[in-house]
Amino acid sequence: MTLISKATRSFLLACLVALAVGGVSCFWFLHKIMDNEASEQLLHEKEQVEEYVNEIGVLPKRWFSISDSLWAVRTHPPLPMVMGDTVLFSTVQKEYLAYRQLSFGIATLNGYYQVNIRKALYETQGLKQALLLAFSGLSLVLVGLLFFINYRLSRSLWKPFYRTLDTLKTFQLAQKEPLKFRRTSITEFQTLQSNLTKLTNQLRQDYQSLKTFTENASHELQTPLAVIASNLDLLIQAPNLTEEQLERIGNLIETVGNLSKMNHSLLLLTKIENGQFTDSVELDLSSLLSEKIDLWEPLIHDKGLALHQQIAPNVRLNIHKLLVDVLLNNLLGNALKHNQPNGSIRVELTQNTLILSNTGPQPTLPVDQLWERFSKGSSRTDSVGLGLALVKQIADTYHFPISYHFQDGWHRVQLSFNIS
Amino acid sequence: MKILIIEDEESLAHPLREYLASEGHVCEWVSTYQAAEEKIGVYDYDCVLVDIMLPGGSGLDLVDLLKKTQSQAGIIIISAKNALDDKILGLELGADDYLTKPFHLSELNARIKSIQRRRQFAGNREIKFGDIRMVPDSKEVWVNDSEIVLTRKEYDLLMYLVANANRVLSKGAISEHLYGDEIDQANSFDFLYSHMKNLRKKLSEHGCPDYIQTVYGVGYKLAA
Repeated sequence: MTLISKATRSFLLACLVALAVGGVSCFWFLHKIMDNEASEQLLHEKEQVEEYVNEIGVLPKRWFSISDSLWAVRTHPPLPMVMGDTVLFSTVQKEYLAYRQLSFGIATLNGYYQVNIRKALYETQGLKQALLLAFSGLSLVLVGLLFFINYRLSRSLWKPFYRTLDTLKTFQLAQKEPLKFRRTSITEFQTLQSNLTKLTNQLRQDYQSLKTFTENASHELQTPLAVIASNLDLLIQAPNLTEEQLERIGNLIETVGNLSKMNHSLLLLTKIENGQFTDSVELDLSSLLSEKIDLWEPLIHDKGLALHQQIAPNVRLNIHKLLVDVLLNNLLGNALKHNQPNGSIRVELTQNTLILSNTGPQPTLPVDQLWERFSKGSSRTDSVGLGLALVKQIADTYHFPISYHFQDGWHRVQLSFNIS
Repeated sequence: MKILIIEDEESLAHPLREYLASEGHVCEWVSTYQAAEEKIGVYDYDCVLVDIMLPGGSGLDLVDLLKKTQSQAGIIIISAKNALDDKILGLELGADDYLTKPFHLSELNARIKSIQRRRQFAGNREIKFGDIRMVPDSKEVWVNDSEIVLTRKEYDLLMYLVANANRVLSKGAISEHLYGDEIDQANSFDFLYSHMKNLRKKLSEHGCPDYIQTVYGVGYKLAA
């Protein structure tokens, strides 16, 4: 729910509650007042009758001067006063109408009488209905107007906020320029923007220095590695080395080899992150993939693995040649390395997707860690765990969605390209 | 050959000198840009190994200078930077080859041999080892006057072994020569075993003695 709709919803709810309570109590007060008024009028008329009787001694002849609906009935004993409501059928309006009736006993010179005074209530009911209608109408217009004003006001008030959010959404760690927010006159949003600017600048700086560090460290490592490697190369040429000594040196050479491969991959990762591979050209992925498979096929057969391939012809893609090499080599190398005896590898290329599946033991890593650097599914010392991180980085660079599934003994990596 | 090594890291220059000297080359070493400039101005070399990042200047400028003054010298750039731009620029300036640190001495040796071969225009273009005869121009391999058909990788492998004959070659050095940094070590070793097996089979089928020795735990050695 957006901020504005949340605020509007609360506003609307409050309005409705206030209107309902106000309307009901208003109506109730109105009803009470009119009700009292009717009773008081009847009592007033009663007083007039009593006054007349006190002065003259008999009931007045002309009722109409006192009330429009008054009649007297002779009774024997004196009667108590009764006030009550009743309905009578009107022959004119063809419906039942509400009346209030006051009956009281009175002693005249001619004996006891019961005097009845009746007053129509339906007139006040009509009035009440009219008032209610007017009130509701007015309320609705008022609420509508308030709602509209509030909505518009909120919209314009929060506009800089939403703009700030939109700008923030575009933020990328690797971007070279600081975030540029649109100026706003509201102090709170200014504070927000300046803090966001500070925060994102710090983030960019940290990220940049981290990258620079990785790059420098990798570069600086090259020369010492070269020193170790060349000395080891010399060392194995020495005559009279025992088998044990040779094996040890061999181990060292292998480890240095792994180390320099790792270093190379790290450098490559940093370079891809830095966007140093921008010069993509349109390549024929189908033929590239076939070439790669030709390269790997002898090894695949050597390991007793079956290879199934389904490659759609002429799949063209805008991508850097080196990166696509790294991508395919790592994917194929992985499919081979993490396979099982008598297993198989399946390569499928369509216009939109590249799917590489291979049989193999269940992965020991959670899927979401699979793409991370140095996360290894096995304790093999000959794998450094940068291969899939490279694949992911390359896929991310070109905004190719990549996914991994393990099902029924098959590892399946799917890469989709948005050809546009 | 007379080789000049321009490298500021003494601990790297030292094994380089030793290795190249054992290959029968005459080596000189300088560690700064100025010293290199002086040497180049005074002496003629057959081959120059030059580092890009040097105290006092860029190795690329030395390449430029070399090309202007001594067009005869073969030039190999050795750099810690595996930057494509540097590589392209270096080769455009006229360098013959580009090696990224860390590299194997046997790789450097193979590259120097290849430069040497290219410089030996006319005359003997063949390389011989025991009964094996290789013709680099046509990429042919002959054993006792019968031609062996090798795949490209097998040919490269044999060439590398012959270029570094009588030396112990680590598996890492060979597989890196064949596959570069593209393929990780585990897979490239597997490739190497497979190629080595096929190469040995083809050679022995043509009656070639088994020159390829396996050095346990390390790699291989081609020895007659």
